[in-house]
Amino acid sequence: LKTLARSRLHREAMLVFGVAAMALVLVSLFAQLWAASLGGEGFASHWGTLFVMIPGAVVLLAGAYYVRLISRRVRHLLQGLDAVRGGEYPLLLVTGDDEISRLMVGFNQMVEELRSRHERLAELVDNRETELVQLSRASEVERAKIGTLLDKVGEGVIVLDMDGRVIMANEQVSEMLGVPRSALAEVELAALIAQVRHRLVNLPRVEQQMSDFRAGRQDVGEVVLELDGPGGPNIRLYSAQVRGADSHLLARIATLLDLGKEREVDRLKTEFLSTISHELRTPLTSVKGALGLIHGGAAGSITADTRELLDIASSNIDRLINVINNILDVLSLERGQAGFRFAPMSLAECVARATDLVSEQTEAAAVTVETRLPRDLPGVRGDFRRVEQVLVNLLSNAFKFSGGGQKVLVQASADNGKVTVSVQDFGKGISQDAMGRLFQKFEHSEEALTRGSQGAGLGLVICRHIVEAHGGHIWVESSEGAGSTFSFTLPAVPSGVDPVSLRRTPLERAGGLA
Amino acid sequence: VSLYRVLVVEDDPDIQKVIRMALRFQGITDVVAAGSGEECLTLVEDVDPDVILMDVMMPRVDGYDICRRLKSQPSTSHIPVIFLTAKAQQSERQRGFQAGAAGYLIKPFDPMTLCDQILSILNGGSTR
Repeated sequence: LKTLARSRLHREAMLVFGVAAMALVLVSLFAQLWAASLGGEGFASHWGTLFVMIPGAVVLLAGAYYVRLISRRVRHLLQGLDAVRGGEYPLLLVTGDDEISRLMVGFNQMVEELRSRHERLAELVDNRETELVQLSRASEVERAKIGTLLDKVGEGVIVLDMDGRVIMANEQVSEMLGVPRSALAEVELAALIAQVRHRLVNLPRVEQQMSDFRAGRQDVGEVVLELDGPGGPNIRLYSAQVRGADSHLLARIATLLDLGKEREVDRLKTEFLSTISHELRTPLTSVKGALGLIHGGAAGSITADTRELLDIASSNIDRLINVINNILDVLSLERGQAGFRFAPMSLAECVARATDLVSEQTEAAAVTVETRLPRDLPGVRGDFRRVEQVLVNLLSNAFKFSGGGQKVLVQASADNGKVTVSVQDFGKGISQDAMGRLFQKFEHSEEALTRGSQGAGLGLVICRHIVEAHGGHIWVESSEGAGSTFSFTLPAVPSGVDPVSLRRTPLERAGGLA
Repeated sequence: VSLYRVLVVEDDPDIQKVIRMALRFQGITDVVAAGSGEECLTLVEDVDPDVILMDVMMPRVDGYDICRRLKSQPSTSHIPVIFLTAKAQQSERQRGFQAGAAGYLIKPFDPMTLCDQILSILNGGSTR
């Protein structure tokens, strides 16, 4: 049976029909034996044997045929399933209309449905793919545009995603760091910096900064990369977050600036200052010297008229020198090269010296200076000459705004570890508009520059720098027609610290003309 | 009779003349002028001045350099050098003192007090 049967179904059916046929044969045999015992022919009778064998054979053959009919179609179905599993869409030939035929029709319908669904899906995927290709082409074009724009920027620019990975970097980055452009794609910023690691002079510092930078992703980061030792590139990398309209974080942008260019500008500025200083002062030295000698009688006696004319010339030379000095002073203060020498000092002494220094101006302006300082005023920590310069500037300023016969009031008070000094005039006051510009950089003070020698604008810019270098601040209160009060603060020193007196001889003061 | 012999090292002839006149007016008639640093070095031993008034910015060799050379030679190291210069920045003053200067005067100077200032420096009160 096992060898004859083509399938499990076939085998079982053959077993069932075989058993049925055998049962039939056995029943016939018993019937014959029973007939023989009754006196019949039994096995000897051919008819009897045939009577037993033929029905058995017929049942067996009929069963086998029927089972084959069913199992063949079931096999077709199974083959069809295998084909579907293999990715084909087979259609079965259906004959008859029994249950198996209907099963096969159902199978065919399912396969048809599957095929049409698959085709629709394939079409959809195809469309999506086309769209994606178009999109990616468009984004490539946009990317190329942005890339071109970035390359036109003078500084190095790196666009990073929120994980600190490079999305874009321009040509300058690759030039500045000496890293091929291909090495910039998709790397992390830290890995990018690691590529110039062997050239870094300030490696420990950079590593520290990079770890700070990584730890505090939310903050702005600044790292200076000093490459190749003295004179080598000095690159400042400054990274900031970029937020979208809904303040959602989009990316980080890091800009790389070669400080070498800044240093060059700085050097040119210093050179320029030095030249100005020398080229303007040298001819003024001869003029001032010659005028001074004539005025002093070195070239013989002079008439009163000549003296008056020489006075005009001399005072205007002094004005010019003052303007040059103020410009140079502002520039050196701005660059932090003024060389302050801070020490405990007596403010009372400084005020006295300042009022003494402006005594000629006081006379010329026909004003009086009144000083009101508390007896227990603590000393301050400051650069005596620079504080004196602030006071002289503020006093000269006050004189300019005052009318003849008016007074200028100098006051001071201590509070909260600082001393506030104010210089008050009762003159015409300052307009609201002008007040805002008073302490600003001298580019904004053309008006002040045209005021002349004591150039209120420049003087006040110098005052602001000096006061701020002391850790204090300076401000003005004014109402038009009622006068102005300029005040500044200086850090007080604890009582018990002796102020260092900075007495200068009159000769020194003369030397301090410049 | 001049109390002092002064060597003026200054490349600008006008300023040289003004200094000479200012000093003469105040009683110092013994003034020798050098127009450059090199000339100063060749003259200095013959002149043997009591004080040298030195410009800083001069062509080729600057005043600081000349001052250092003078200070390094035993025959001239005792001569006080006073810089007379247009460079007023604090850092420049420091450079001057580092080069061995006795004092530092700023141009433009007041000719009528130049002599007093020089005397003040020589008497120990340099204008630091």
